[in-house]
Amino acid sequence: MLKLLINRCCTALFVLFGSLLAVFSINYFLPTDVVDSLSASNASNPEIAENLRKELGLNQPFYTQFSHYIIGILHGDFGASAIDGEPVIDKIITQFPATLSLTLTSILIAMIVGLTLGVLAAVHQNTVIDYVARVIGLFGISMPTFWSGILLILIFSISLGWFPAMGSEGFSTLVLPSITLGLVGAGFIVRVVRNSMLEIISENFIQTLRAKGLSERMVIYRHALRNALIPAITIIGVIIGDFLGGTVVIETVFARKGIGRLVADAIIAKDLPIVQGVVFFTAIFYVVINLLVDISYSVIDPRIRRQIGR
Amino acid sequence: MGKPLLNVSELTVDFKTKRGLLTAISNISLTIKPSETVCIVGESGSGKSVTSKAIMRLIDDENGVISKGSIQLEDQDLNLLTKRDLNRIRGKKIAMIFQEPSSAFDPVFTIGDQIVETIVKHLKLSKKEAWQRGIELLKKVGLSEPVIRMKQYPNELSGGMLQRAMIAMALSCNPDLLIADEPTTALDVTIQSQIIELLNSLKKEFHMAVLLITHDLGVAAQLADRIVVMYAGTIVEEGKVEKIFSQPHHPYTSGLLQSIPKLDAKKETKLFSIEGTIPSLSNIPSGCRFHPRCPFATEKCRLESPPLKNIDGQQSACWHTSELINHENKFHDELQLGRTQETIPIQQEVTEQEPLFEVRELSKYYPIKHSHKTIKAVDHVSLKIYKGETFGLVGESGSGKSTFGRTLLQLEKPTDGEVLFDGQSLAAFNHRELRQKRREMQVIFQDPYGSLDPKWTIGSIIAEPLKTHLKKQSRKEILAAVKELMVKVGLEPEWIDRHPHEFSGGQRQRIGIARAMAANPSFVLADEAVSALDVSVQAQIINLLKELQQSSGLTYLFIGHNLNVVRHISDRIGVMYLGKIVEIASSEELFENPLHPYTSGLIKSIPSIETIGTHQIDTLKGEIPSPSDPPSGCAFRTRCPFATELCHKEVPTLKEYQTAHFAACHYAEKRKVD
Repeated sequence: MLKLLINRCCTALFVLFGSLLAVFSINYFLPTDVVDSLSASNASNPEIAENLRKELGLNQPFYTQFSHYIIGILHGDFGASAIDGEPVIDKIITQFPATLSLTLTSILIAMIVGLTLGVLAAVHQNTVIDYVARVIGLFGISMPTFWSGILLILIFSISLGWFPAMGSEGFSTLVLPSITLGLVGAGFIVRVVRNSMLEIISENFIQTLRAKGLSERMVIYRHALRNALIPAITIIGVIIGDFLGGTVVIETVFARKGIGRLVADAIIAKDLPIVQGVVFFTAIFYVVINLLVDISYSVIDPRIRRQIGR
Repeated sequence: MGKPLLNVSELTVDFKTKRGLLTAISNISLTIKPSETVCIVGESGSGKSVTSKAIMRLIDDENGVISKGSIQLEDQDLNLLTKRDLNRIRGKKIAMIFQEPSSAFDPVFTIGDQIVETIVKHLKLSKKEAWQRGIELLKKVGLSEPVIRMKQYPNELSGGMLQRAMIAMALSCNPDLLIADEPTTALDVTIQSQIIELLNSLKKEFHMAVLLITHDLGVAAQLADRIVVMYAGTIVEEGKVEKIFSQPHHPYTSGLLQSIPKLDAKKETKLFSIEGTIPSLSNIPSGCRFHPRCPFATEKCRLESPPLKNIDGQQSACWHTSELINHENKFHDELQLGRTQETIPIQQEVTEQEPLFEVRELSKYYPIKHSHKTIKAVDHVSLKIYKGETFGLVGESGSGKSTFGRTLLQLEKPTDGEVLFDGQSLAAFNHRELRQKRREMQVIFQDPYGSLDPKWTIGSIIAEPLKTHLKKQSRKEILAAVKELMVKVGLEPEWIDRHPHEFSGGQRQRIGIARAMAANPSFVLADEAVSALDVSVQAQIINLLKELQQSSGLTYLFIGHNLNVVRHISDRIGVMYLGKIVEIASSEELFENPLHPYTSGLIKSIPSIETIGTHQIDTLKGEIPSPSDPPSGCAFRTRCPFATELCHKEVPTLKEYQTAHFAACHYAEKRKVD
């Protein structure tokens, strides 16, 4: 297990470095920069703009700028916003919890709905239950979140008035956005769980379990589901990463706080330090999630556990 | 006689399919008395497995329905039980073991967890007591270190060990009836023999009745008191084991018995085979279901289905049984004269002994990940395969015989050593030259389902080698050649546009053979080419291979695990153990006078229909060790009853002890004298 952790930390370093390099390069080689977006609003003259570039270090060569940035991170300094001068880390700390709680509640909803429907669909293959579950899954996958989000607002907020349509204060504001996002994940999970359950149920050992006299409940939930979870966990890891990216739209639709909005605004303003900071934290989050996924594999499947132990 | 334990009467099972109901078995009636062993034999599609699953009502979960009949266990009709009540019987009164031990356990729970689960469910013991009982059971089924085994996961045990564990689990609640569905089919002969021995001793100890399902008449002979023969979903014959084997009352039983290659049969005689194939369930013949394949069929057989009739305690469903018994001699003569006497003209003796393949110190090692060790799959093997002969290669799984075949043809790059083909070293050829040489070396694979592209018509499958190797261009020429090949292997030329899924296993194997023959090879590697086939079909394919050898002067390397079959087809046989050849001799010599203890152990393990009920006990003990960590000295010493200090220290070399009889054993000389 320790070996796995060390291995993962090394990979994480590469992932972080790579993602920072990518974002930095894109920003650097773009024909416009933050000064353009500032001066567009201020309508100031080219001389001032040039001074500003000098001040921000934007006229230095790529490697100098990049190495400064990396050295700064190693000292815990993520720089400051090029627009308002506020430290990046402060901005992220104020915005990140909202995104995190949205992501986690969404994935929870996705897992509960996805696993339940997936198992039910497989156990009752080719019945009404199966069809309903598959249709729900299809909707989850194919409906764009900006549309389904607005639909939910129309029904539950405007018509019924059960939940607030926007904002990010309190639990009630979390309900509609996390359902919107959760349904997307549920759609993927239903499909994967249904398929892997069907595959497992046709395995020989299921017949052995039935021949032992175990109740169908035991056969399905104690044995089959545990085997079917392995592919499901893989997709959950991917979905979480997706959700972090997907919050951009959701946070806009529901007018929520969060790093999705933060980064979207920063990109428009060419506020490079903010973009990089958000990428950095998202990457860390992603690596941690995938580590958790790998650990849960080995908890569920002894074959993987023994391999890691070696 | 007492009351029967299980009484199945007029059982008919249908399966719901997209095209409507399909009747899998009809009017099956059988009884099993307490402590009796009844064996259902039959080929694939005969309905034997469906019968056993119907008794357990496992067909409920496979879209099966019992449309008629009853299954009486003591006083209960299993067909009328609710799921809940049924689950009290399953695993408690009737236990079941299956064919494929490696997939019969849940891979994510330990062996112990799975045994305990059963015990806790039925015997209401505490987990701790159940665990203790589990350990005792594993000890009872002959597993070493049962305490450790309990904590292991299924993938950490070998097939033989898992089948023992499966038996332990089945016995955990003292069932009255054990249903064993092909319990030894997936295992090596040596392990099969150990499992048969185990079942034989356990059924006495536990006083339980056994319902054994098998396609192997040899296994049935070793275990059964009574035999039920099934064909195409019906019972065709039923009776005491000695009677069935000595005087079958149904032509199908008789044919099955004769299809098995006998140890004393002459090699040039054609193997007896039942013509045609088993009908599919959707296309059951009228009248007697066996009539299209029966040499005795008359108009009556075509029109009316014969009922089971009792003659001297033996039941058979054939219109001609009484005539057949009365004319016993005629019956036998007809079968013997009409068919088995047919011989394949023996080829001109292989006198000049010109080698086609000369293998010198061939090795194939596989590296093990994260380790400096290697798996020595093939380890310094030297042998010659002469032109026109069939060289048989036998050994348990893991002995390296298939790897040897692949390395011989350079399908895998050898680690060391040299292969000369017709005097030329194959390693010296570049890619293009090797590809041209490949034309002369073709392969027939074991799995007739996986080795044919399902999307291609059989015409294009057979035509492919013609195009690539023989550069035939004109469509007409190719079409003619394909049709000629199809006739040669016994396929109808009109089937040329059909796809592989429309054919039975035996027919697909014929397609595979036609494809191999299309390149006009001089050498064919047959890797377990008949292992997946039913007995009656297996005999047809062996006869075909022999005929083709005669007509085209082919040389074969025949890899197999069924020793009787390999013996029947081979001129010489090599025995492999852990990557090394331990003995080579002509096939008669090898079977009559084996010099290596491994060879004699293998021979003793063959379940024979000639020794009913007298199971050989002194078969090979233990299992083949892991090739990543072979024993020092003679690799076989860990299982050898004669091993000494010398075997521990020194690796025996392959030496010629008699003319053309080689063995790698320190004590071969002594055994020769014995």
